[in-house]
Amino acid sequence: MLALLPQVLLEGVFTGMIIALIAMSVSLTWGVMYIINFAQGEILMLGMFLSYYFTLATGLDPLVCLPLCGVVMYFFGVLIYKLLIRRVMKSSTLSQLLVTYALSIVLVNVAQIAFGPAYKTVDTQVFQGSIQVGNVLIAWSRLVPLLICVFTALALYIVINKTNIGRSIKATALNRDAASLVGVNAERAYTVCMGLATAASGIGGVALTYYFSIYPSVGSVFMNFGFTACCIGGMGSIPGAVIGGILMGLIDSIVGTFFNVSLKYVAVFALFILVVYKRPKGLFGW
Amino acid sequence: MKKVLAVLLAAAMTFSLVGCGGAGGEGKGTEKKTEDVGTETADVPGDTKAESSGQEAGETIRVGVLYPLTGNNATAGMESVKCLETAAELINGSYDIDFPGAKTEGIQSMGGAKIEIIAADSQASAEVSATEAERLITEEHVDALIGCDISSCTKTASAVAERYGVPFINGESSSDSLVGRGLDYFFHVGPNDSLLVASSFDYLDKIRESAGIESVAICGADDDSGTNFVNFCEKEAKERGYTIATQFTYTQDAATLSSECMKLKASEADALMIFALTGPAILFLQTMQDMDINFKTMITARGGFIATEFFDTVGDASEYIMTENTWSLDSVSDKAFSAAINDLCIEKAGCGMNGNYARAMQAFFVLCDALERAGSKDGEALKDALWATDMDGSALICPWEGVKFDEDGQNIYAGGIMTQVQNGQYVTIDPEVEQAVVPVPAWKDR
Repeated sequence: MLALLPQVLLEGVFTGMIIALIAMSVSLTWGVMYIINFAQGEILMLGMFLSYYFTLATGLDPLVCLPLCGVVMYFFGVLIYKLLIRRVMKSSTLSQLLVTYALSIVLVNVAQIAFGPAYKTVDTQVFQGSIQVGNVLIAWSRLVPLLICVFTALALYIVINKTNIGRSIKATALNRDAASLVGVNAERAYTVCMGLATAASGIGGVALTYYFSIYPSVGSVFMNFGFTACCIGGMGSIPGAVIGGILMGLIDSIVGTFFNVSLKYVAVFALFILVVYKRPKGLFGW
Repeated sequence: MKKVLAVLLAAAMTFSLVGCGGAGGEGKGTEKKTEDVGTETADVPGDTKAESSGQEAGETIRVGVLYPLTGNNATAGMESVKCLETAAELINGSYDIDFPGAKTEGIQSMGGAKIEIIAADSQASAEVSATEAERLITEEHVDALIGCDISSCTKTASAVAERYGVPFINGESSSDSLVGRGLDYFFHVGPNDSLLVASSFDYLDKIRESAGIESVAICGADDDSGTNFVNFCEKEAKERGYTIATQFTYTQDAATLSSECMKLKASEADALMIFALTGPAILFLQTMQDMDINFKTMITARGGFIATEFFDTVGDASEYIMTENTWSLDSVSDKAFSAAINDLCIEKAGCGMNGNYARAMQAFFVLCDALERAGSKDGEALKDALWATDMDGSALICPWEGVKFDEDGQNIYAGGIMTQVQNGQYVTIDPEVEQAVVPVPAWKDR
């Protein structure tokens, strides 16, 4: 049984990185704008459908769709911010929650009408089969999403920590008024933040198409886990979101394989409760 | 700008709600039916049974069908509804098919009364199924109900139908707990889980020696059907001397089934017994393929493994999966009407029949048989006719000896047939065991 441990750990990391990508998006909008975007999972779903129809139309691998998806979803995020989120920024938390919740319902149902309820999968053209490294079998359908997620997490980390706009976003998150006093355009920071969060979820959707079926309500599954990973890792922290996601993935994989499958989510949410109890801002929260 | 935004949001929400309720041809039918309801309720408001009792030549019999039309199981639900609409068309119209009721128009004993299908969305939720069943009875004034595919939904919806004295005929749900509840208006046409699991193990016994099967892994969803399936499999395996390498239930909404599949891999079981709805069925198979998890045979409990979209999605990976099925085209090849009705489904509903749709349609034809004998759509008369059902196997689209209900409302002739996916479709491999491909080739050798 222990011979399976490397494989189990690797599967945990694979799962965790997908969760981490959603967690990063949730973390950005919550950590910077104090908005809980319930539609983040549905944005992931839109990324999956974009990847599906791109592959169907061009016959190319979903990987090629990544830049296009990133750009399209970035502007979709900007649109959501300008049309919806900005209007409720100064409203009560309940109004903000309801707006994003309503958006998620609208997106699911529009997707059902537009794309149909059937399960769909993308025919990956380039990366098929698996590679054997010692006792560990690594399927390309898992490795490619992992690499996409790592690349996206790194890119987001660099943008947030090493660029002017990233520093503006962090400054706005820490204290909007103080940031405005020193010349930071908070409105622009929020717009870019929303665009980046949406693009990250959309890219997560493309990555997910390598091994997960595409259907209108797929987002809700990942949103719950992404939200939990964000709370574990810490609001507003990109490394925190990644670590939160990977921790969840590893617990899922280890408890599910070596102990009881029914207990895997009990263990994941026990960790969540423990972290929130001991450190409400999460492990790496701002 | 705020006004424009408000209008846009309102429009979007309305559009979304339309999406929630709309499915297939439901919209058209409902519009027409609402007018009928208005006329009926004006006469005897609030008394559903009284409204249904009047008989006039050429009147309409309203049959409510409850299936998931939104959410993860929407495709199967929509196809079930379309198949039932096709079945209704077969009875309402005149077709040159040698099948009871096909050549004549409508229910003959009721002056050619036509059957109208009224679809409602169960959302695969037990609670929603109950409220929708109530709405269909009190607002849409249906004369009988058919559904709901998922056992937990059927259980709550049939309890509501019982309260209102409206017959509820179920084809696809297989939980044993559906019958034996002392219901007078509930009729279970299809086989139940314990029988199907026992049949699966009967077949496993037949190939036990040739395939070298000594241990089994058992897994099912963590709902009513899945848990029952696992428990029945455990019982059968122990009684027949198989080693249970692992057994568990899994969360249906899991983001990944990696740990479940790793557990299966670690078990090194010879055979896998599995129950899953469409989404998890696809994910299980793809993950097992990715992780190179092989079994000498894999026997599934229908569910998602016989869904149209399962085959569309997994393609060749579905080869050699065995299912204790309730329909396959070759299992009813001795009945000339089978192929004709299947073709009609493909033409009208856009999908061929499978074990799920066949059972749903069979439930509908049992209702038609009862209507013909009762000569009335009154709930009480219809219930009595259903209890007196004694249909011969030659008049069934399912490969059973007949339909006759025991004191619990369970069809005593319902059963399963072992099938295996070969060249993309389920073929019958029982009793001709030599037709089965066992042990199945490893993923790498396919």
